[in-house]
Amino acid sequence: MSDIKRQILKHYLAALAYRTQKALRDAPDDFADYRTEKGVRTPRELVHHMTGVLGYARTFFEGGEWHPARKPAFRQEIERFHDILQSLGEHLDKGIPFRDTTPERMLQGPFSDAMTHAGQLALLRRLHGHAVPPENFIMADINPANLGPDQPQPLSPDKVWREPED
Amino acid sequence: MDAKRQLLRHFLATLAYRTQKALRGAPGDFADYRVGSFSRTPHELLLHMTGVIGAAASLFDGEERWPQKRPSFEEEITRFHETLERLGRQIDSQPFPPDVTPEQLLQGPLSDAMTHAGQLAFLRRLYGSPVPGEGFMSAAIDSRNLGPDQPDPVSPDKAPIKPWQEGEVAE
Repeated sequence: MSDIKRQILKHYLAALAYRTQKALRDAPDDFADYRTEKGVRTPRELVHHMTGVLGYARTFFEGGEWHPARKPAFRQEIERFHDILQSLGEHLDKGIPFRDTTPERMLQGPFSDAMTHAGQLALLRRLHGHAVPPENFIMADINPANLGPDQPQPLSPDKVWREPED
Repeated sequence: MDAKRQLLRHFLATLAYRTQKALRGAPGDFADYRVGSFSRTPHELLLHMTGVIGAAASLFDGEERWPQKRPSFEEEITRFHETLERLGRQIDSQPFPPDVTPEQLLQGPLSDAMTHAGQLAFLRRLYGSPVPGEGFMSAAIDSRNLGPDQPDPVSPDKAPIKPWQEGEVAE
């Protein structure tokens, strides 16, 4: 597999780390367990699910299964999500071969799935009454070496916030 | 086509597939479903997605034009896919703009549109018409197909659609 494709996948993971942190940054404490209605995931459950999805992706490097139990605290759930991101990033960096899949299928499956859930977190922020401020994401300081929870502030935040951005 | 362009093109096809999945079989009035006073309807979300993808295309061709809302949802969906195809052609054959890298395109407008596809699916669930699950890694996503005619799932979930339950881990 091309190293270039691994680099792109790693950059996408960094974008996921950045956007997930943006959706969670400065959220009120009760946001973690905000449930819009029965049968719809809370933010805590969404992050747990994102961890499960990315852990599933990791099995295509390592084999086995991944069924994470819920963490007692939202902060721990978020830390584990970033741990899995970093682990996936290391597998990409080291050139560990994909098992029975391709970069394209990894991108179309779990990686994109997790990104859709990052969007859902942002929508929940809005529904909770604490919308995420908009920015120009092209200019964002997204760094493939940083898949952790400590993500930078926007470099190009919108000067006028006419409509809260999701 | 080089490896970066191939992967970006595949990402656009994934976006086409997932957007169609979020819209397929939706009730007629889903287009105008507004869950909160400051949240977008599906029609408005799709308009925004077209604007975001169109802005990415404008980086190549310089044609800056934020779209106006189309009268019908069907027209909005059609234009969204036309805009995806416009960007796809540029990714296939045009030089990247000097001040924008493929990585920036991915982290910006392309990822942005994917988050909104997720929001469309979320709105389907809130509306009471959830999207059936599937194994997306098996989906027949074809980088040549950015249009509205997307295939049905290859690996649909066998269990009936149900509210999300604690303990679920599947993709």
